[in-house]
Amino acid sequence: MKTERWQQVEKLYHAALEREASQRADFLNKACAGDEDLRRDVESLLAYQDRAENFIELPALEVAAKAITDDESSLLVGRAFSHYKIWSLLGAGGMGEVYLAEDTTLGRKIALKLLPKEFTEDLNRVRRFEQEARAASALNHPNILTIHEIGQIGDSHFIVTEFIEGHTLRRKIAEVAVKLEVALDIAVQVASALSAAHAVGIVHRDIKPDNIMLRPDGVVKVLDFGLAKLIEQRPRLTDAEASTSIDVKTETGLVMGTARYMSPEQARGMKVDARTDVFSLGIVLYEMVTGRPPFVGETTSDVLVSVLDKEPPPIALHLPDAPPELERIVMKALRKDRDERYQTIKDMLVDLRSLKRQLEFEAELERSKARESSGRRSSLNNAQETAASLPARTARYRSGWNRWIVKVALGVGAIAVLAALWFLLPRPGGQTKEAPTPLKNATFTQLTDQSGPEYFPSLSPDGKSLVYASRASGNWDIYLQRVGGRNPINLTKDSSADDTQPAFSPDGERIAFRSEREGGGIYVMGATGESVRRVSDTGYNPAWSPDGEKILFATESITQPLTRPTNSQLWIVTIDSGDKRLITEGDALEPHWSPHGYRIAYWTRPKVSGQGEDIWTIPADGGEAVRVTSGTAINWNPVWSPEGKSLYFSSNRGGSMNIWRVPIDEKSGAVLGQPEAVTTIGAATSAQHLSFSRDGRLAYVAQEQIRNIRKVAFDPSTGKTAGEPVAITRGSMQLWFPDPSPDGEWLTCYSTGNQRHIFIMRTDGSDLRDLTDDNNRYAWPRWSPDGKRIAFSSRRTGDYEIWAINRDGSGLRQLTQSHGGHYSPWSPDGTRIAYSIHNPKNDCVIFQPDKAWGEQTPEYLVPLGDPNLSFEAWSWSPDGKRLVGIRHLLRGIHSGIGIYDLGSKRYDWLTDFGDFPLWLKDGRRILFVNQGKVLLFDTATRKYQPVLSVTDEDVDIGSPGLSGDNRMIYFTFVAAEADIWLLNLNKE
Amino acid sequence: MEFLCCCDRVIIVALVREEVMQVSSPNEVTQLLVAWSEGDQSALERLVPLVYEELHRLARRYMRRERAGHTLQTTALVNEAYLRLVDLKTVRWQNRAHFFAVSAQVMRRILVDFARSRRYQKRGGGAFQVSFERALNIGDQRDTDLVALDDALGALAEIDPRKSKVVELRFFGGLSVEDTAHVLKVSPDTVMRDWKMAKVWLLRELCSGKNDED
Repeated sequence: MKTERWQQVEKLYHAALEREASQRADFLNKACAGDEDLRRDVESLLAYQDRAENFIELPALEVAAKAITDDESSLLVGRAFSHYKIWSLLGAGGMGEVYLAEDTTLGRKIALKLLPKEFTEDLNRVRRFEQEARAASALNHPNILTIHEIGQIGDSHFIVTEFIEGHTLRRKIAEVAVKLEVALDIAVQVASALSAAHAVGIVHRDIKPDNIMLRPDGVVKVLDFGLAKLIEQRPRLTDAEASTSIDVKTETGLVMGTARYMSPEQARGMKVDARTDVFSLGIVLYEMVTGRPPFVGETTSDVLVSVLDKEPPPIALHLPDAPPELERIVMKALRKDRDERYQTIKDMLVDLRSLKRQLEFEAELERSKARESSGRRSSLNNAQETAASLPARTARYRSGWNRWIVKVALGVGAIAVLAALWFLLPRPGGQTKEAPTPLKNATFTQLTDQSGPEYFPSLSPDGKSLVYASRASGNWDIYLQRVGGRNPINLTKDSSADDTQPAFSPDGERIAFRSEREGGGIYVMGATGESVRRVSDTGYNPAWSPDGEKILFATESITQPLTRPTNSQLWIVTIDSGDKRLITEGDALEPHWSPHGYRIAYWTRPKVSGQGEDIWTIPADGGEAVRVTSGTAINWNPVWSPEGKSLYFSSNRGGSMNIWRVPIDEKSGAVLGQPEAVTTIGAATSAQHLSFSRDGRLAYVAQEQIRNIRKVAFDPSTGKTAGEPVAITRGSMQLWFPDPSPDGEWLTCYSTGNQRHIFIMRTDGSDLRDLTDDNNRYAWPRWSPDGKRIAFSSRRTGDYEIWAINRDGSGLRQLTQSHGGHYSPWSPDGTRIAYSIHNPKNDCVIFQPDKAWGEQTPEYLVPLGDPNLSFEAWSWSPDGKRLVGIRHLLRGIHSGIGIYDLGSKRYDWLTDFGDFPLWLKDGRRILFVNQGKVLLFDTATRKYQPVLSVTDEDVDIGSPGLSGDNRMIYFTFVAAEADIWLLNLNKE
Repeated sequence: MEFLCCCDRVIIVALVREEVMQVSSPNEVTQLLVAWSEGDQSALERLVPLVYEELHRLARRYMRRERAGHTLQTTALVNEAYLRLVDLKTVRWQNRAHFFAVSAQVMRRILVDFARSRRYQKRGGGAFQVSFERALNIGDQRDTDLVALDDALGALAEIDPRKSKVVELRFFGGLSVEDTAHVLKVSPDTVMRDWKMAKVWLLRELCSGKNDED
């Protein structure tokens, strides 16, 4: 009976399954014809149908094995271990089991990890591991897991760490697609932890999502520093072995997760350095944003082969809206050759943070745009189209600027780094989220104009003198200058150590400053440099108490604003006694004492990642801090106005770094109004380092980037420069892309920034002349081989097209009609021009400039096959048969230099880095630029050699030009300039 | 809550090393299975420790990669384990179906016994209620209680012996759909259909905790 009944149930079950879910009830009612038991039976089976999908799909053997796992893991649970009471197993991995436990002496929750015995047999290794783990923990970095104890009971080694309420990044990636902003935030925090660890020589070696914990409040913790040190053995997999592979086929699942995050040097079993962590973080970031690891394979050996040989698919393949800058950052981290990667995690961190801020800024812009009135919408839309039509170009600038910023960040000039980040941001049409309102009647006077940066002005109370830091003498010194005078006096010339951050005392008789002499500290000297005396053996950014008896300082400088590993404290030292008092433990920088002595203003790094750097005030005798600013903008360098009624500060809340002020109650710290813009200097300049005189005049530093043209003699026979570079243009120029005329007499270039004009000058810099007289944006001028014409791109008709003009400015003519043309190298015989169209297909096209567009049969270069790649022709070979150009990964990210053969229609890739390649007239070698270096590639040997590089921290090399005889290289020299200005806020 | 500190990069080395030490000889297991199927009862006694050994070996690996994100590969891994236990090449083709059936039976017996003894040890013989609801909700099917499943499978055999056999071969024997079809001399489609139906029935059985057919 049972069997018959069952057959009936089964039949109805399958019949019901064939019907739509909504029709099943009706069907069953009918089919069961009143047999309620039968209907219930079938319906209850149907109810389990979905959930049975995975049921017992895993074989019993595994179920049993898992049971053993649980048993063994739980052996410790409920027991005491030293003074720790084990509560539960949190997880287990290759490096041991982790338990949640209670520290019974301190009564706190901790995590206890037992290390597998097989890894703790070698005591030397254990010692090395302990050293690194302790050192990393001792950094007290907010993103590094704190270790409480490393110990041993019997032969069991264990680590006790803080207990993190949260889950691993592995789980997050498995559960949800990680939003780009979140992924960047996580990457920034991990990079910050790594940067701090690298600074003390600790390489993690095992960065992967399992070692990254996410707390619910958004704080990220990196685990297991030093643990990889326990195992010095690494798989040795050379290229040859890779193809035959270690026989680990059956172990696929076990090791896959590990191999996927290895750097090529790890996969080869080579010695690793900090750049290994750069690579692994690149993988983690890639996986976070795409949901897929970049290097995959069926077996471990396949994965390792992929790590060693395969280029990861572009992020844009998985995430079409991914910003090109993200692609660039990740791909740079994932370079196989570690010499081509980010050389330090700090560099990567700077780029990550810059991108993060950019996205935040864009998001904010979007939000504010939504609030815009419809009347303004159209102009914004236009502006956006403009930005979108030039993706490659934007990216090209961007990558160059990033490098510049990184350099600045590492040098003393780091003060303006965050401001400089804002140069990167696209600012469509100059719209900003809070339009700054310049104060009426204010006058601006430039106080210094020496070449090189001047920083940290401090006005004397009477406003007649000024001290500042400059490195005109080679190292940083403090200079004294009369306001309006021209002859600065070096007050610290007797010291070879760097002296910076001077501050006039309230009576104008003394100057406090930071000096690196004798191990570094705060010093005080007379106003003309006499009687130097040390008042503290630590400290930066000294500020005076109003009575001139005490000096306030921070324990950290802002030379590395993005990567400071520790909290900066504020201290007050009494000058006469040397007594010190701690004011605040939390992070606080650039403190300033209010004029009546009530409060101290300072700024602090964001407590929650993604927030801005905000200004706070705290009572000078201790107490609760009061917030002054909030939001995502950078706010720093607060100074009190002489009456104490306002705080002036530097902020990018208007888009670029400007001076702002906010009314404040000096006693309570209460903010009495909205911030108001004091300056609205242009986007390429940032204002900071504020200092008031008693009569209300304000000195500040205006910093900008200067692009000038230089030239250097070149010996083609040796491939080396002959002599030193010579400046052709000087001053605050913004010139880019020098191209010499074939006869070597003339030079064209164009101005970057909002006004894109084409300039022509003699190659010695004389006769500089603007070839264009309107604002239609001109770029990329190239000389015709006969030296009579110049081809360039311009937006005169709305889209960028290729145009030509005669050398004397006559005969302006549109050459193409293709909606988006750029870069126009002429063929050696002058009959053809290659150019690149920024359309969805990214075509590269050759046309004949002397034929009307309607009569053309343009030759399209064979596409690269991969729709994510494009080729931009940059220079013709002397025989006119080949083109050297740049291979772009989707939307403007550079990925190398290659040659297109017009005969065979094939590409030959020379490098996977570099930009602006130019053919030498020998037809064999190619000059190009990469990362502040001019390089020479020999196609015969396929090797390259350095020609020219900049070593200075705050300069960079841009696009090169090569004279017809190949004996002169022209290049763009990008440098930081910072001058001191005086703002006179005339009262109405 | 999850807390992981694993450093699996090192495992590659460990595994390669482990690979060298074969735990048991496939041939030995196969011979024992054949012997048992031919009526040699003592063969089972000698088989049990070998299977247990394999089980523990597997378990050690799970410990290492536990929650390390590799669950997708587990099936492949376990099938490898079966292959390691029994050397199919030494089994003559005409015996193959019979051999599969026998080995699934043996495996069922050994594993269920194992689960039963473990349950006894752990809970002092008391009732060990595994919540299948919970197991399904958290998606961890490895919490399946083999003892309860064995009972349910017995009940299924009473109303539909073939479906019960399908489950035995696939779940306990680790056989593919094709091999199962070969053993039972039905089409792979029928095996699949039986398998799905049996799973639904067994799951309902385990979740409800009693036999609705009574």
